[in-house]
Order: sequence, then structure tokens, then C-alpha cells
Amino acid sequence: MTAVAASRLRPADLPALATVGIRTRRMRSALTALGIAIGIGALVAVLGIASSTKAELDARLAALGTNRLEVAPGQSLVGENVTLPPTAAARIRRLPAVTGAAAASRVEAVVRRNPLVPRTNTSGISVNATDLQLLDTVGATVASGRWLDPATARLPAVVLGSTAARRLGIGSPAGRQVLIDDQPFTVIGILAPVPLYASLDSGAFIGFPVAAERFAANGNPNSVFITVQPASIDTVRGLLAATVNPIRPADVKVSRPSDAVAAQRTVSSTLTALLLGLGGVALLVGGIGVANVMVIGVMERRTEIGVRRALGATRRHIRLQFLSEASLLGLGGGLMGVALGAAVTGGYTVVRHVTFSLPPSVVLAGGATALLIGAAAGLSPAARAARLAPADAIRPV
Amino acid sequence: MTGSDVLRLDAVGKEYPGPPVTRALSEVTFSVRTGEYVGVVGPSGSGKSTLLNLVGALDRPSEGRIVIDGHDTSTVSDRQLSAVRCRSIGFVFQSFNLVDGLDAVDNVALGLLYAGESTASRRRRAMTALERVGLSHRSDHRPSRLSGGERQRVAIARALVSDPALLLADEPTGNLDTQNGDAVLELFDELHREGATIVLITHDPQVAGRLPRTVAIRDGHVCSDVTAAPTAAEVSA
Ligand SMILES: Nc1ncnc2c1ncn2[C@@H]1O[C@H](COP(=O)(O)OP(=O)(O)OP(=O)(O)O)[C@@H](O)[C@H]1O
Ligand SMILES: [Mg+2]
Repeated sequence: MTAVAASRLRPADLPALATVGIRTRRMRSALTALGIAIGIGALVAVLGIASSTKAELDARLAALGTNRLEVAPGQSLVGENVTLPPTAAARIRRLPAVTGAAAASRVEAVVRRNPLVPRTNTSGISVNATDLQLLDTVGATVASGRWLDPATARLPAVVLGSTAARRLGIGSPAGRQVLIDDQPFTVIGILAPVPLYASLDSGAFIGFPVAAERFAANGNPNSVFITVQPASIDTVRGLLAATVNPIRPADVKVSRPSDAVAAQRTVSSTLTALLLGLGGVALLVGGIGVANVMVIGVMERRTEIGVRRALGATRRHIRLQFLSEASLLGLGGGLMGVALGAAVTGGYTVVRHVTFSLPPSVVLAGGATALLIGAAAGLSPAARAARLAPADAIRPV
Repeated sequence: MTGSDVLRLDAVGKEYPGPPVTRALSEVTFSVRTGEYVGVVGPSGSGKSTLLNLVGALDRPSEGRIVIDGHDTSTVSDRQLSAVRCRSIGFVFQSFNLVDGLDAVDNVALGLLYAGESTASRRRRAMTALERVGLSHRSDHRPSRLSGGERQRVAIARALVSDPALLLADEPTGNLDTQNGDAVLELFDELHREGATIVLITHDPQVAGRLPRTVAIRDGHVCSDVTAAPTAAEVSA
């Protein structure tokens, strides 16, 4: 008995073989892939948005540096008001490795654009007496006009934060005046938004001398903003409380503003969780859709399976054909989903003015996940197709 | 007309496991030599298709021995049965069974897909086979754009593209009108003259009447096996 040469399918023929069913049922295939596409799209969008946001926060952190500290009055155990001594900033400046310290002290006064605005309308603007070093220690820049100097610190001159200027309807400082508790102050500058200390944006800043003179301000700082040499930040941080208030260091709150930004990077919002869940459910439903369409396809293509077996296909060849087709449906959906997710991420970055970032690993994982889901969905239908007895498959029904 | 046996059946029986258990063939013994043109006739349900499935290595007999082109199919694995179908047999079905998504030449080339030939070689041989059935001008047509007669000729091209030792046809004219049916039968005659070994199932006595040899089946038994006197054309061939 001579041995017969085994049936053989060239790998190069697999792509055409895997697409013959998809090509003849385009609409159905597209709709099937859509289920997977929505799932992958949701996941890619969530990861893309998270990545873009993180990239943005990283960029902000890098721009700001992590060498800044802030000191504020703490909360006393019994709830009484604690204050920082007026000398806090000066004491801190004497510490080694501190490169700058500026105090800001809240002045109880109302800023108005003109006398017609009722006195009760504060517009949410806080008036602060401040050291001249403030600009450098908080990393702020002047958008227009100029910052306070030793001369203007003694005069009724005010610099506005970006939000404060907008609320007062002041676009440029040229020759503008505002009323601070009925006293006219000249606006000499407007700050650009301060990324690390957003609360400063709604502030109005005047010098300590004029604050003491006009408003009898006591000079107890609400905040001292500090810059240090990066290598010594932990050492300085440990010394600050005792330096400011040697008797009751617990009354002093020390924080590192960059920690708050860094924390945002890992925050997973409810929305993210919701979208991830939605994507997972869509993927599951998409996978079931692929399985369903494959089962129907195998039933419809019973004769084709019989003919292929009659032409020499082995069970393995039939299984391979349907498994490849299902995997391809999954992959197609995955690619659509990646495009969809990238588009959503792109839209988000445009609206939020952040830099687009979609790690290649997310794209790869999206495609691979879709492929695996397709393959898993095709496993049972393909096995069913392969199990068909050739004689039964070609029998006319 | 002499030649070695392309096909040998020795006391072949087939029983379909039930319920109910159905005995479709019993004690079938006959052989087909190279170049023979054999008709299998019998009433509906007599076991013709069952016989063709066994002879075409689509199924294994319950008892007895079948040797196709030198390969005993009674005992071999499913993979080896596939290989025998791939290398030694060409099928023509009553309902053509072309693949919708492929044009004529690709449908014909399908006859070589599982033989592991290159795409170029498959297409070349498929074009030659289409020429043999007189359809080279329809090579890029999808099956849905072909007439019934043309579809069956494409199917015949697919069956003979691999030069099989044995061409099997189950009611190849069953779905065709008389004219197209005659054209298909003439094509089989021509293939026979060119040396093909053909087994053709029919329940049409007129079709059977024109074949050189007729095996008649009734209730799963061979009830007659008649070889007509060779025609003048065959003697001179
Ligand atoms: N897969 C099967 N399972 C059970 N019984 C079967 C199966 N295939 C065929 N049979 C039975 O075997 C017998 C022979 O069937 P077969 O299809 O071989 O007849 P046939 O001669 O081809 O008839 P027809 O001319 O109508 O096509 C019939 O009684 C049929 O019911
Ligand atoms: Mg039949």
C-alpha cells in the first residue's frame, strides 16, 4: 500500500481563506466587528485620556519643579485660631538651603471696580499683603504691567491675579483704578495664571507697608511660600515647623504643593471606572456577537465545508479557516476601536488644551485583546465546523 | 481497454447507526479500471449516494475493503482520507456547490488549494481546466453570474484540475434542463475519450443507456453489472 501525500495548506493562502466569508457578508461582518470596536474604543479612550492628562500633569510638574514648600497656620486641637508670627518668612530665609521665602497675609478688605458696586459684593477676590519675593517663590509671571517693587509697596498700588482681573473686568492695567475698602488703588500689573497655586489667581496683591498704613493689617501670614535647593527639600521640610514656631511647632502646617499635582496623576475618577466597565461589557457583548455570527456562518456554510473536505481539506484546515475568520473579525473590530478611541482622546485633548498622548502599548494591547476575543469566540464554532462529517456536510438539505 | 484497477470494492457494506439503524449497502463487490466510464443506477434510496461517499473517501465502510488508487480507505485515519480525496478524487455534485465569494477561476483553483501548490501554479492550471470545459471567457465571473450549465462546467473543471485518478459525479445533470444536461454529459464523454476514469450516478435510464458500463443497485445490493460492446469509435481509439 503506497502512502499518500498529506493534504497541505500553504500559510500564504490563509489570509484569502480567512476573509472569504467576511468578503461575501460585508454588512454582517462590519456590524459584528462594531460590537468589539465600541468596547475597544471605550477602553482605548479611557486609557488615552488618562495618559494625555498624566502627560499634561507631568509637564506641569516638570515646568514648576518640585523644590517648593508652603507653610500655613495649622489647626489647633481645640479649634482655636492659630496664626503664624509676622517674622515667619524672615526666620525661614535664615535656614540653610532655602533660596527664597515670601509671606502673604490676608487683609480683610473688599475690592470693587467702582463706587456703584455694592460693598457686599466681594467677587470672591481676596486682598493680600505680600513680600516682594512672592513672584519668584510661587513661580508666577506677570501677564501685563509690572510686579510690586519697594516703592510701589508703600503706595496705593495693586497687582491682580488673572481671575481677579477678569472678575473686575480689567483687561490691561494701563491707568485703571479699583476701590479697596473705598480707597482708590492703581492697578499696576496683572499676573498670568499660577499653575501650582491656583488660589492666587483670585487674589489682589499690595505691599506690607501700605497694608499696615491703610488697613492696620497685623502682618500674620496666611501662607509662606518657600523655594529650596532640591537636594535638601526633605531636610528643610523637617525643620520648618520648629523654625516658624519653636514653642508650638504643631500649629504649623507644612506642605509640598507638587504633591497635590502628583496625586492627581493617580486619581481614578468614577467616570473612568464607569467607562472601563462599559468597555468591558461592550467587549463581552461584542465577543458573544462574534461567536453568534460564527455559529450562524458555520450552519449556512455547511455545504462549503463539505466541498472543502471533498477537495481534500482536513479537519484542522477547516478549524483554522473559521478560527482565522473569527480572529480577523475581532482584529478588525479592534483596529476600528483603536481608531475610535484615538479620535475620542484627540477630541478630549483639543477641548481641554492638553497634549495628545496614546502609548503604543495601549494600541497594541487593544488590537491584541480584540484578536484574542475573536479567537476565543471562534473556538467553539470552528470546532463544530471541523467536526462535521464530510458526507453529512455535502448532503443536499 | 485495459488498465490497472483504480477502484476495488470487496464485500463492502454500510450501516448507518440509528436509531433506527439503517443498512444502506451490503456485499458490494466490483472494480473499476483506469479509463473506464461507469454509470451507477438504481431507484431512490437504493444506496447510490452512500456508495459514492465510500468510493470518494468521504466515508468509511462498516465492513469490507475499498482500495482507491492503491490506498485502502477502510482502516486509515481521517487525515489520510482527506489526503486520498485531495490527490486521487474529483467530485461533481448535483447542486454544483461552488463557493459564492470566489470567481470561476478561483473556484476551480480551490481544487488544488489543499494540495499545497503555489497560487500562481493553481491559477495557471485552473485556467487550463476552464479551457477544457470551454469557459475560459467566464474565468472572472462569480457563480451567481453564471447559468446553471456553466456552473456545472466550472464544477467539472474544479474536479479535474488536479488530474484525479477517479472522477465521481452524483446526478450531475439533476439540476439542469435537457439541453444543458446533454452538454454536460457530452463533456464527460469527451473527458472519457481523453482517458479520464469516471463513475457517474444517475437514476435516468436514458443517461445510463449511453454509458459503456452500468452497475445497477437495488436495496443496497449490486443487482447487475453490464458492459456494453465497445462502440466503433472506442475500438479505433
Ligand atoms: N447519514 C445517514 N444516516 C442514516 N441513514 C442514511 C444516511 N444517508 C443515507 N441514509 C439511508 O440510506 C439509504 C440509501 O440512501 P442514499 O442516499 O444512498 O440513496 P440514493 O440511492 O442516493 O437515493 P437518491 O436517488 O434519492 O439520491 C436510504 O434509506 C437513506 O435513508
Ligand atoms: Mg443520492
